[in-house]
Amino acid sequence: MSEKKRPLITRRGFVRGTVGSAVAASVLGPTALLRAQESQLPPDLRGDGVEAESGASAERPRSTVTVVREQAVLDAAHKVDETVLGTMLDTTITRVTGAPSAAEGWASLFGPDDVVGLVITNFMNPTHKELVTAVARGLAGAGVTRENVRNVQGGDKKVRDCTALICMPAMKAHWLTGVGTVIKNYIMFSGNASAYHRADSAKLGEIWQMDHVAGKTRLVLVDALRPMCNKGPQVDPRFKWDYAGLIAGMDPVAVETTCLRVIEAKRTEIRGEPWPLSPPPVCIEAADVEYGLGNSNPDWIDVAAVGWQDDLLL
Amino acid sequence: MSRAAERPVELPGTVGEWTADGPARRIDASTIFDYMNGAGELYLAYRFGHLDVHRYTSAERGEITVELYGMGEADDAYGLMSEDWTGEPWAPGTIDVDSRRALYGAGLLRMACGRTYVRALAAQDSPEARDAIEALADAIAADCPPPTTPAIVEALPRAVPGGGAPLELQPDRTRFLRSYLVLNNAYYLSPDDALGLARAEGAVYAEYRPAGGDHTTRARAVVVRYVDEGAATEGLATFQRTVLGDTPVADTPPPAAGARESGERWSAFELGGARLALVLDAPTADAADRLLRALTGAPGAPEETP
Repeated sequence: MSEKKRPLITRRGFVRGTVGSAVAASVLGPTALLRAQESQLPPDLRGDGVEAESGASAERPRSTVTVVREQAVLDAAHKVDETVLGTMLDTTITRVTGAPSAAEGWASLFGPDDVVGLVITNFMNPTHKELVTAVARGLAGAGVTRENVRNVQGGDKKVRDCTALICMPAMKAHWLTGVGTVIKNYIMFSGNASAYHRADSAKLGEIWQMDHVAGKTRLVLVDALRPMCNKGPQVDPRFKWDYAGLIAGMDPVAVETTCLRVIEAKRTEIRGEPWPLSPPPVCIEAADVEYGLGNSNPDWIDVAAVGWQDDLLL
Repeated sequence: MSRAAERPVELPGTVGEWTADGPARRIDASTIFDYMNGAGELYLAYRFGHLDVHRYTSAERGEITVELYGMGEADDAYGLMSEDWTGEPWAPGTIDVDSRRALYGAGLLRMACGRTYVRALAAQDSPEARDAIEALADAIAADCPPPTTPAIVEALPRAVPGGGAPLELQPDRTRFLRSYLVLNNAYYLSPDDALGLARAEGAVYAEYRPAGGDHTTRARAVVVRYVDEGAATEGLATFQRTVLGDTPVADTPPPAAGARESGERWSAFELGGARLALVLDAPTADAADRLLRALTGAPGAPEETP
């Protein structure tokens, strides 16, 4: 996605950023703060690049993340209104692509020759099937045949035949990696998921650069209808809430960073005091600093929030 | 281990509007990641034996999934409960409501019965689903042994006097663990096993704060019981090297006790035999010192009796 040359930010620079400071100052204690500044990432993943200025850099392109929310998309029993969801998706696509209509937006991203892999969350807080159906409808409008729209989650072989991917996980915290939404969504494409757990979760961005994956992701579309802000991936419904949103963009790291902000804000709201994710989601920073997949610094991310604004948490 | 805890659980074929969807599915350590990729590590971080999954279906009200985790010891089931002490206390079967060994919320029941840890989840929360889960819980907990608390948790001081307001143990932030993965989920120390918990019999993470104090007044405690003194010494050395950033000096044993200040927060540690006590993230040197003394058996400190 992002192949442009950008100045790297160092670990220390990241810690000073909004996400980093939230992670480092609140999750980490006195000694661990020092660790966070110096060596939270494994040695082979520490950025030694040019320290970036805080705020926007002239050399660093900004990223835009679209947040579309409609309270009416879920009823009291959390069932999805497919009509409302369809309208939300149309809005999302026009905003993300800048096209005058959703149909033109889909057509700007995909065409009749594409084999499109939908990378969904299959189980334990799955991507809503109504969203999958709505996306398939949009692809059909762009001329992608039904047999060329595939759920490719679960293994590395299915993704090899795809010419394009839509990363469409459900939004959730993850007890092992802090957050388990966008970057972690491709873990099964590695063919060796266990190699990316624990400390090595910082390397999740590497999967996005593998030959059979790189350059195929044309849309990141997060199902934030009913996210989970604690304990994931196993479901605890007390930590799910009706955010009623779709969070989307072209930059996977910026989308993940925005999801993280929402999750962290919800956790703070629940406890009435800072309740940062633990362990800190280092895969986000690494996806930026080491793998150049996008922006992890909110200062470089423009959030366009459309629709229902209450409890936006951004 | 009581005989009751060994008894195979017999669940009803029908409960309310739900009917069992065939026999239980047996999951073991070799198949747990097929069942719950990304979550299996939590159970393997304790002494996981097997998991039996019962599914109940209702055409109108969705599914209820009952998961019975057969753990090595009652301490392991306690440890899984200690991930989260919040929720509505229940008293199914022989479980006493004050023990907090059965907690319910929004369609999910979590329960520890002997060495069995239970999760019963309704896909759609409703009064009917709650009733069904309650009936299932009664069947599972028909003769649970009396609840026990790991000795290392029981030995935590409830209050630490001095310094104006006593530091009080926060029971809902007290977690029994055996793995650095669980410690990192409670409080992140390092991407690796910085305390050598792979060679620990058990450990406890707990938070203390004065009555009415906000999060800035919090101090964190970690106490580890290792398999032997050598493992404890090695665990402390790893902590000093990888977390405190101390440089080992050749032929000189690292200090068995000490304190550090970083970023206006304090940490302290003390090794005694096979037991290591740590204070982390304390607001003052005095708070770190008082809590450490309370944890390490200073006069008046509670005894840890296995």
